Amino acid sequence: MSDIAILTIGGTVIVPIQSEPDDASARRMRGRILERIEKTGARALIIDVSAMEIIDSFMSRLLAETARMARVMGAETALVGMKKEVALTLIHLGVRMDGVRTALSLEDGMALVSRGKGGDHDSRR
Amino acid sequence: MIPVAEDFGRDGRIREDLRLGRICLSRRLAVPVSTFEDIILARQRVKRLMVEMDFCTLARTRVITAVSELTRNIVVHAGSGEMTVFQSAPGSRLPLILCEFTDQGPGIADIFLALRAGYSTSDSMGLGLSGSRKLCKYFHIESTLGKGTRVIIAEWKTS
Ligand SMILES: Nc1ncnc2c1ncn2[C@@H]1O[C@H](COP(=O)(O)OP(=O)(O)OP(=O)(O)O)[C@@H](O)[C@H]1O
Ligand SMILES: [Mg+2]
Repeated sequence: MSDIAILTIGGTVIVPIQSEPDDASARRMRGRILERIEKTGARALIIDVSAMEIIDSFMSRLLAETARMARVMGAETALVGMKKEVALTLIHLGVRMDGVRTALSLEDGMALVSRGKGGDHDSRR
Repeated sequence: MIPVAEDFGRDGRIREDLRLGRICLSRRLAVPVSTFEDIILARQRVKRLMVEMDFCTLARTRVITAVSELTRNIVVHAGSGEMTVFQSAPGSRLPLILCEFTDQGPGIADIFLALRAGYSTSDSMGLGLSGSRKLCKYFHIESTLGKGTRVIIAEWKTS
């Protein structure tokens, strides 16, 4: 499958996952996201999963790892638009995505990651 | 064997019938599984069939997630194997889909341990088998060390 688009808007990296990436493209995506954060010094990462019909244990682990590494690099992650069936299935599966914030829409996600930075964010300016 | 005595509603009876091979099924498709792309292919084939059978989105999501976990187990732990999908007769009173995953890999030494959430021999999360068992209405596993593993899941519509 073709590679996933990565957008940078302001200080935010946005990744809309359009189709179902196989394991190799998912790993490639993680690498490219982290590279982009490093290059742009982005403070926020938004992964839009609204087009994903399933998230299995492999993908959830990969997303959680990406968020953890992004945080180490100084960017907060929000996962936006997860379908409710997908969320329910992840709970059944026993997956816990510690440290990953979730939001219903892209706008909510933006608000979440910028709020997350809070006063800290202002003082850095 | 898992006792089903307390659980003898309609679903319990269907589970028992499946276990005893008392439900008539026809073979719909087979997908060889040996690469990570095959996992996606297997998911897409099952999805298409479940859409055709008009399963609700939640049932589809649960089953396809299990298909993903079980085909990945074949690739990662056994190297290669196969998924075969069966369906109850069209127009049957019981719209049912059954997926069988077989491989001739190393087999599983302790099935009870392997079914425990968090148990993994590959430094992973160990959620594939325990999760699939929770995600589908019917789950069956058998394995012989040195010979291979066979997992069966099934889902039907609750009327
Ligand atoms: N088809 C198989 N052949 C041989 N061993 C298997 C097979 N499927 C599962 N196992 C064994 O059962 C264990 C548990 O499987 P499970 O899918 O729950 O976890 P995992 O594959 O290790 O991790 P995860 O699926 O969370 O990434 C595996 O670590 C492996 O030892
Ligand atoms: Mg697994």
